[in-house]
Amino acid sequence: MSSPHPQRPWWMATVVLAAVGLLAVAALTGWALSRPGPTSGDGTAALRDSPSASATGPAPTPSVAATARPAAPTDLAGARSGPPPVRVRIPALGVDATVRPVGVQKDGAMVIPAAPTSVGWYRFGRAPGDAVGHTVIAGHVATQEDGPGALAPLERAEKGMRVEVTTADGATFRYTVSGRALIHKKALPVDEIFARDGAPRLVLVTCGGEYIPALRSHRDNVVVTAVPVR
Amino acid sequence: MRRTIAAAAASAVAVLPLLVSTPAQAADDATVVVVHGVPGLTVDVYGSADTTYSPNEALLKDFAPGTVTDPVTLPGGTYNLAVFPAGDAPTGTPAIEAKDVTVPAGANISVVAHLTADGTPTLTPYVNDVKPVAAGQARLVVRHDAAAPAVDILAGGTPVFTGLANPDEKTADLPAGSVSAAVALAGTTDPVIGPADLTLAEGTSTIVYAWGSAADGNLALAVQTIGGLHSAPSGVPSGTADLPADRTPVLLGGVAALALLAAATTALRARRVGA
Repeated sequence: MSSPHPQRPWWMATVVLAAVGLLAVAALTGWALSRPGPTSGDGTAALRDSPSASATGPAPTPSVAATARPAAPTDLAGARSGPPPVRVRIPALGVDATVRPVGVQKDGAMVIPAAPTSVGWYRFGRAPGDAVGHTVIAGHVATQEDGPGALAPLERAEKGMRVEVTTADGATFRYTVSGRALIHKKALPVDEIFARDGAPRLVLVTCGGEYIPALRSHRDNVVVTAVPVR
Repeated sequence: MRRTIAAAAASAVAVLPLLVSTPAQAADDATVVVVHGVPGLTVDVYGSADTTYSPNEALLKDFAPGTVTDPVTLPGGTYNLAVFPAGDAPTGTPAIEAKDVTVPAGANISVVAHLTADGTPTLTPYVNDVKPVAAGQARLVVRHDAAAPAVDILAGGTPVFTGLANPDEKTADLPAGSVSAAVALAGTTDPVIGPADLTLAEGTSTIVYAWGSAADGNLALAVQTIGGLHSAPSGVPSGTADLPADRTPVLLGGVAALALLAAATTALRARRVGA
């Protein structure tokens, strides 16, 4: 006759192991619930806002009298945009990236800086200081050479997060995230994203969703829309 | 000079309003720009419903050679236009007159007062191409409105348009940026105008008028721009690799499975020992 309760250590081990198992399941559930959803806030709705009534003048009426102006070639530069953005920060996500101006690739898509730590500002669109239109900044979510990109945390952007953009003249423009959306690349509303009129907005774009190795590309774009802080 | 211009009168077609009595629907309005490319004469421009012109029908005063008007928005319709030397009473025979000019609703037109190849003043209307350009591109239009033979247009010293004759135009969509533009007689590369630096802004049309007279040595360029022709890029290819996988679920799932399996095993063992 040994212990009167020989099975007790086994029961205790069972209880402990079961507790550990249940804790792990709970943690897994918590992790799953904390995953960012495909959208946050109002998605891209803010891209469709019109400028405030005060910003739009009365509709132009036909006028009979014309105004002549000199037509020297030097007058050609046209209306210049504000200074270009050089840095973007989202403190809540730890995003802090240098920004450089980019244009268009041969295939018509926006140029994305090769180094994922640097992000691109679409220089043919609007700048942060402009009264109307969208400032578009985009960066790789990751590259094979360099790993995760500066804008990779965008998938966790939530409505209300603060965004700061510094321009080349040292000015800082403050925005608040109004929404995030995961949009299939083939359905990306480029005319809305790159709009040069409408209410001033900051649009941050990277990739997301399923990764398709054969195309070396993601299926979706992550689009974060932010409105200026008045 | 006035005499030669008067001789031009008939051939015209042109624009500019008159009797613009109702505010127009923007979608149907025509947009009209007037370009003055006749050297040596500053003019007043009048519009009227009939062929008599009164001082209160002046559309443009002191319109100097080499200038371009801001766009004027007019309802589509039929207009008469007359050009008188600046300051003269709008009576008698106009220097240039264009009658029953039809302005189609919604059109974008540039009307150019200029010299023909042999030096006769005339009016030529051009319909401007306002179709959008591709993202990153700019449209360049060159119009020969000078008393000069056919020319080549050089960009950075290389011919881009060749054999352009008065009053024809050539057009191309190019990557936005600056070009050094010059005009040379057809088949040559020795500039008769320029070179001049042109900024071709993205999403705009830059219309360059070569005007003046080769014989008088006053060839020059005038420039008109039309904005708002931009397109959006086709996409944002912002990822060439997947993010490193998040190991959290694998780790937690493994721990849970192992712990629960072990718990089941020990429970069985406890039962067996207790039995």
